Amino acid sequence: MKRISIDPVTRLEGHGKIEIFLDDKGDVANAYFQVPELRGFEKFAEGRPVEELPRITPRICGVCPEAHLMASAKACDAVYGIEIPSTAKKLRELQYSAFFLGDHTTHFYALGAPDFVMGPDAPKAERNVIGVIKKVGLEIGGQVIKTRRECHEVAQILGGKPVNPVNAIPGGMSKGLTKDERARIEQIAKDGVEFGKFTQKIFEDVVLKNKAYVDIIVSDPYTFPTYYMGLVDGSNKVNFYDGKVRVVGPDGKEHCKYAPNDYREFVAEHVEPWTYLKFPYLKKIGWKGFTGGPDSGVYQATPLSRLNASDGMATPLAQAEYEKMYKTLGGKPVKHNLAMHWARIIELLYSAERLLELVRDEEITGPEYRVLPTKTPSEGIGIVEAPRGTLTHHYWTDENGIVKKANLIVGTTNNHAPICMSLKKAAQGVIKAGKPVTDGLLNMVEMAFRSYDPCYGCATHSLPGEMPLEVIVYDRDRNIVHRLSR
Amino acid sequence: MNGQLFEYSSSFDKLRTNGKKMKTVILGLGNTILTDDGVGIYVVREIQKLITDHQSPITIKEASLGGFNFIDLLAGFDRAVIIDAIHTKDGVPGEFYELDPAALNPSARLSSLHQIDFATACELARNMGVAFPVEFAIFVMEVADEFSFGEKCTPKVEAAVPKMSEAIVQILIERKWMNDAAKRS
Repeated sequence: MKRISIDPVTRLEGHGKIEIFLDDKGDVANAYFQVPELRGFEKFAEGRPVEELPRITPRICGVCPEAHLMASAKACDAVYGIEIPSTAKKLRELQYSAFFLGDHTTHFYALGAPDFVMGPDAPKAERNVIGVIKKVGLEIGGQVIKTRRECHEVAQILGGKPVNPVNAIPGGMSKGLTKDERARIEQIAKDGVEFGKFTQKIFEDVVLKNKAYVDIIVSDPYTFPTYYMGLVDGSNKVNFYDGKVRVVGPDGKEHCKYAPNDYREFVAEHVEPWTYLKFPYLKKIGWKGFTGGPDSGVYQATPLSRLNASDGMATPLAQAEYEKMYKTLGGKPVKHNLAMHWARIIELLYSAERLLELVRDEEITGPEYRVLPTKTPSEGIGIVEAPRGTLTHHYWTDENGIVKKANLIVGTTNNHAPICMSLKKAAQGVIKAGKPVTDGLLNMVEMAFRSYDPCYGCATHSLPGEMPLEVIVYDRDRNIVHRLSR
Repeated sequence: MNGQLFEYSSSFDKLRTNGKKMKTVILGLGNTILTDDGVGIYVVREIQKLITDHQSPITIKEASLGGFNFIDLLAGFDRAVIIDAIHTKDGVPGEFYELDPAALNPSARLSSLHQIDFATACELARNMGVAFPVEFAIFVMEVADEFSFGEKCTPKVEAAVPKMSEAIVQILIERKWMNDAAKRS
């Protein structure tokens, strides 16, 4: 068998691309990004029994399988007109909290922290989690690995598998929680809360105490006002699993609040000729092009959006950090994209606290964790917050529960237009006529993209790693003037 | 299919290096609902059929994950054989080859968009003192379509699965990573 080396960007099909176009003077005229997209899900879903979808849809994405599992199970509950038992709801949220804790941990330490700990213009080879550990200490690496392992253990306990569990089913959960299992999860949750506090401390020490970094966060290239979307509970507090979708404007005032079933009254999708990805926008305001502000229907659905769209966090430690963030960054809503990293670790702490709260709930070991569907199935919508934004599953079935049509709006799709605009704005801010374009500058453009934790990565596991990304700068005659690959 | 769908290992182990028992994992990567993307999984299932249960110190795993998960998947093994799909610009679907593990070093510009990449996961595990493979072999098959939903490979890829599985087993025997007796006759 032959043995070869490959260069992922020049040789692999299907990599991501950010393209920056300069004008006559050498300033940024426009910026676009393109990524490979999965095709044919609707057709794939058609003709299957709807109860298969909670098992299939988590496999769409290797990054956020639990988000699809929960949205799909909720959509199935709705298809069968079932109100699931309280224990089932709490078990799902318990499992989902552990998933969020693990996912936000991964994102922050692998993607967010390197730019701040190592510096945005540090050499690429050092700007990663290894560099972070070398600089801040081995303890961090150990904590990250332990937290991730323990979050997988919660999934293993509840769903029988450490990753991609399939235990959320129409009508509830396939298995309850025993007292012994509960004791173990309680310990994991306590560790998680400590880790959440430790993460706030790292952020404080490394980012907030470094004026240069705070200046970058609040700087104009990374400031981008739009509408903000997030799921809230009955008290308008952030909730990942259930509630109503609330949207606030760039002025922080409520634009709308709707139940999942009504999403089509509030959200529509715009199509552009240069990409197959759609651009959701707020229907009542309308699509006004790639522009932000109160007159444009563009909204963001991110950790920061969730905090902006809520009146606070439902747990005490996270609430204290929430207040600190708004106090530090000048009140609500925060419009600085890089503050998404801060919002994400506040959510990290919240998910650990929520995990502890739920595992201590008397009902969590209750025997009623499933009801059997008895009504004739028809149509159902399930909405949860995925780590990367509001996730909607919408299914239509015939009277036998066979899928006739399925529509998904995944987390990152909500942010497609804002990502394009944030990229352009960051590029315009850091690339200037007469100033050489360097790798460090292009990384600063990429930081705007990365803060969204974009996940088109439904195909990210093809070797040799994850999806490669290329940033290309063109002059006005479309000649390549700089290229950065990673 | 994800995580540890099936796994077996044997206490009967004839393969030793310097007196140390070498534990080997064969990891198939892919997503079996994305047409050709699942090829790594199909190949390890085929390899499973080619080796006996009783004489092989080999663990077989399937996963559709990357990044940090490599640490969990590979921890505790001395050698790792990884099988996955690849799609290069001039690739011919169904052709398979071995990737040079050195190409997965971070200096080769392999950073991840979403998570950490394979090389970083390896380095992280070693830095953290996790028992982690010291030897790797990476086999990939060129695919035609890994972006469309579908539960079956395209014809050329499907046809190459048995050939690739057979070739990998042969290479592992030649390298003495696998006992000759482990192969079903």
